[in-house]
Order: sequence, then C-alpha cells, then structure tokens
Amino acid sequence: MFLTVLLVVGLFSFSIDFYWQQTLVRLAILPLGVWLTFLIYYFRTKKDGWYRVRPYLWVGFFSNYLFLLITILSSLIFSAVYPNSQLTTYFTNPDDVSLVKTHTIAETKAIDTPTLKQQLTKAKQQSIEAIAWYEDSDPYHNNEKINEKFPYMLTGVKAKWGSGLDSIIFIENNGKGLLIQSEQGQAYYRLSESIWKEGSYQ
Amino acid sequence: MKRSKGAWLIGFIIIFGISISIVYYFFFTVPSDAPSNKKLIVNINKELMQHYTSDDITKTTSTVTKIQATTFLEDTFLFVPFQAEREIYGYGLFEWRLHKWELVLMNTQGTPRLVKLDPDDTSSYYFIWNMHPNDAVDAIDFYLLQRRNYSISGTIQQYSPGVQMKHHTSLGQHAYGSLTFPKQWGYLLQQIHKTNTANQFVDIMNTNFYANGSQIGWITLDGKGEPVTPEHTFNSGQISTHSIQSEYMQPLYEDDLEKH
Repeated sequence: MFLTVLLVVGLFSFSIDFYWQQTLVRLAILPLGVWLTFLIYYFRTKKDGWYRVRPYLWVGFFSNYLFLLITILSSLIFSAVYPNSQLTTYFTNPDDVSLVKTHTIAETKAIDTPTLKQQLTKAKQQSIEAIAWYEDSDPYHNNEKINEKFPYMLTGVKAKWGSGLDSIIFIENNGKGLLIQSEQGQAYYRLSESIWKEGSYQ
Repeated sequence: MKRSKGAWLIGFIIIFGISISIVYYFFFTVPSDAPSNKKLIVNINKELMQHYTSDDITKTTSTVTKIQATTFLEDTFLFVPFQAEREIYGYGLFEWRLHKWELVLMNTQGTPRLVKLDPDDTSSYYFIWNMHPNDAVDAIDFYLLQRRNYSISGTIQQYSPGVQMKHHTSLGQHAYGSLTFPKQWGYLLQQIHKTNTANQFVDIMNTNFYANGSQIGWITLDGKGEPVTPEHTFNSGQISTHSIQSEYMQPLYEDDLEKH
C-alpha cells in the first residue's frame, strides 16, 4: 500500500505537453513528487527513512518516460497499420457508397465503380492548396462565379477495419480528387483517371 | 415457521410484481391514441395564459380555438398545429412522459422550426411549420449551408468546401406540416460532429449553430415556384416556449444563396 503511494507520488512531475504527429506527448522535466517527499523528510526529526523511500519515488518518476515510450510506439504502430498516405486507410468499400451533391450548382454525375475500385489503391496523396482552392471556388475572387471545387461527397464510407476512423470524403468536380476530413485532420488524394461515368445520367 | 416463510415469499413476489408493473406503466407504455382535441386546447391555453399574465399584455390575449391536426412523430411525440384568435396559426409539440401527454414546445408564430427529439441522432430531427393560409405558400425549400473556408497553420493547410444543399417540399392542401430531416444531411452533420477537430465546419448537432453563414434556413415559394415572403405568418405575435432542443431557422433570401 505504502509502496503504491510512493510510486504515484513519484509520478507527479512538471511536464511539457506537445503534439507529435497529431499525438499528445507528455515530456516530464522536474521531479516534483520526489522533491516534495524529500522536503517532508527534511523537516522531520527521523531523517534516515528518506533513503529507503527514495528509489521507489524515482521509479515512479521514470515511469513517466515509460509511458512516453508507449505513447510514441503505439502511435508509430497505428500509422504503420493505417498509413495516412494511403487512401484505402479511409475508404475500403467502393461498392457500397453513394454520391451526394453538397452544392446545388454541381452537375448530376454518376460514379463508374470499376474505375473507382481500380483507382483506390493507386491514389497519390498530394498537398492541400487551401488558398488557391478557396479563390477558385469563391465568387468574390472569381468574377462573381461560383465554381465550388468540391461539390460532392460520398455517403456510407467505411474506413479500414479496426482503425475506428470516421471521415467525410469530398469529391472534386473533375472526378479526379478526394478531399478527406477525419479526426486526424485533412488529406487530399489525386487519381490519374476520373471516376465519373461517361455519357448521360438520369 | 414454514408457513411464515411461504408468506414472506408470496409477499415478496407480489411487491416485486407491483413495482415491475408500475415501472412498466410509467416508462414503457406507448400511447395508442392522441388525446382529445379538447384536452389539447386546454393544455396549450394553460401554457399561453402563463405568458400573458407574466407579461401583462392582456390586449393581445389570444386563445386557441381549433386543433387543425394531430400527427405522430415517432411513437411518443405529437405534432399539433392549431388556430387561435386574432388569426394566429401556431403549433405545439407534445411528448408522452410518465404516462401523460406533456406540452414540450409551443410557438404562436408558425414559421418553420427544427426540433431535435434526440439531439444525438439526426434521424430524430424534424421540421415543423404552420403557415398562415392567406400567405398562399405552396412549397418550402430548406437549405443546409456551410460557409466555404480555409485555414493555414504552419505546414498544415485545410480547406472546407462550401456546402449548399437544398430539400424541396410541396405543402399540398395544408399550410401546416412536418418533415423528417433529410437522410443525406443527417449523414453530413453526423460526420462533421465526429471529425471536426479543428472546427472546420459549424457543428449543427450542437446548439447555437447559426453563425458565420453556416445554418439551416428556408424559403417559402408560391404556386409559380417564386419566392414569397409569408407576411401574415410573420405578423402574428410570437410566444414561443420549449423544453426540448429545437432551433430557430432563418428565412433566407436570394442573396444568401450561391447561384451561377
């Protein structure tokens, strides 16, 4: 019982929190728990007890680094199993999805499922050009013309099994780009061929 | 001794049975019918009167004279459009709570409102309205809007596409009605709710959502499909109360929408 208390008190520290690849990382710096206990023993008459408790306190403090290591490792394993660079992390079921217009100005289109299937594994992640896309889409920057670059979305999307990732997938009006928003942030993928069905649509 | 043990057991079973029935009666029974119009009118008027006395505006006092319809929304909610004195067209929403119909929302101005029977589940969202018949509203276009946006912080860029989704509904012969929330809108709202870590969009599943041009709004249309302002509906005084989550929706005008 007393040992557990010592370990927990040892854990207590001044630390710096920061984000490393979207994972919250806690780096312990000052061993406050150790110091506090030292002070308590310093002001007591029987001081030799300190040397007995000290190792447990330090074990507690260094557990902070063990937790840090576990956090980093699990984040690395997650990104190895569910790589952000691959579209198939977010999107595995091309047969089940439906296309929905998210802007009234969008033309009615239909998805060519074989092309989508074939493109899914070949998609290349590219950088998001936020300002350029905004200016191309917005009427104020575009001679009063509305030309929303991503006027469609897919519904019924399933991410890779076990990832627990939820997302919104927007489709570019040329049928060659997917903008994905998930808890991990946004990612943009380009396809070499358009997923639009050619010819007439109902 | 044996006999008293048996008595204890029987007593226990009876008490257990009674408590089960009480719990069942208050929490698990589903109403078979709507209450009588008379009862509904009494209930709504009671609510109305509370407001009149507290605001002391007896000159404008109006009481409900007619229940226009009673429509079930799911098993335990009742949408009740009503007509009141001084040409007021409004609506009430009743919920089946503890084996009683309770008024959980009331509005004496029949402009469209979004009610969230279960705020966490968009499939339980409904639009309700009761327009003044003289406004000759033939149809309502509902719009889901999200303002186009971008953000750059360090090397991370984000772009939020502009969203402008439309759902058209014809009113038919009645100026009142209710409509289930469009499924595709529900999908988008749920996904925004789950993935919106950097506030790219406005999370409409949470309250106070109509900010920055991101909102749900409506336009009323006349017989020719042209936008028409529902003057009579707007002119009736508004007394509105609610104890369940519901959202006021802005009337929209041509300028609010993006067109070619």
